[in-house]
Amino acid sequence: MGAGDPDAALAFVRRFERTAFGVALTTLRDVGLAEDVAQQAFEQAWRQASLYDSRRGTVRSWLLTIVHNLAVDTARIRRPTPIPPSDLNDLITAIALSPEHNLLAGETTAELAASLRKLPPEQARAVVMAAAYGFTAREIAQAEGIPLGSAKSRIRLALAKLHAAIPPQAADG
Amino acid sequence: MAELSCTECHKSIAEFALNILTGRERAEILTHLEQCDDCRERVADLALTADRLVDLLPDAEPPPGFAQRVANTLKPAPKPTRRLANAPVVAWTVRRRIADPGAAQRLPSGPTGRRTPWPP
Repeated sequence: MGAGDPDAALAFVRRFERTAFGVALTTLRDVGLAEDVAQQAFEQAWRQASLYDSRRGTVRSWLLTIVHNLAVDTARIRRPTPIPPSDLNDLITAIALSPEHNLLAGETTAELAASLRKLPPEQARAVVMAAAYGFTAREIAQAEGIPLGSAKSRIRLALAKLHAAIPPQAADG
Repeated sequence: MAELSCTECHKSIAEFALNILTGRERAEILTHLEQCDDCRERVADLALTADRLVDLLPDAEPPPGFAQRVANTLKPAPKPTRRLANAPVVAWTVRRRIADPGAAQRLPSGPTGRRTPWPP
């Protein structure tokens, strides 16, 4: 990756474009911004291909981290209108059902999605707002109309439960 | 800056793993992690789970032509000298044209300015 002919570049982008654009769109909720951010992420990944370490995860998850970090940074600069509760609920449903739509999903993914479905709804909302939108505890408290301490607890409890649901030493993530 | 205990660190460790802590809070956790193996191990575990959650975000179809536009901006790395010597010069011209489709129209016209009428 990162070397060779233009066909290799096109194949690389084609392989991951739906994933990269999907993450950017989920975080930014704006097609134009998501396209810019996904493009920046591909450029960064291509430039920094030599930094990719296969022992630390798949190319897909490495690229996802790059896209997501860029998207959250962009969202923080221009935080748009409040997120409608129905959008957030749709997103939680999409995440919880994603292993059923993805034939390549491994055991870890299925366990994580199942665990998300079992969380109390307010904890699921908190952890998804944090993970997907990059909301801080303060922003979650504002969005939910709850004290800061409650938002922090919800995030902490939710992530701990999700973590506990993943089989130890799982290698298929 | 007062140093955190493990109990205090645990209150914000999930936020740190999700990368949503900013400013002073983030700095305090970092300082604590520097000295505490247990909390460092815990944060690494939680960060892995946070990454896996991002992995589950839904895919979406990008606008038409996205892949080609992006691929055009990804420059191939320099090839070994042996390959460069054999590379046909035309490849660069073609690549430039792909990157800048308007370039051909901006080339100066011939001395006579002769044009083929179309349609005849």
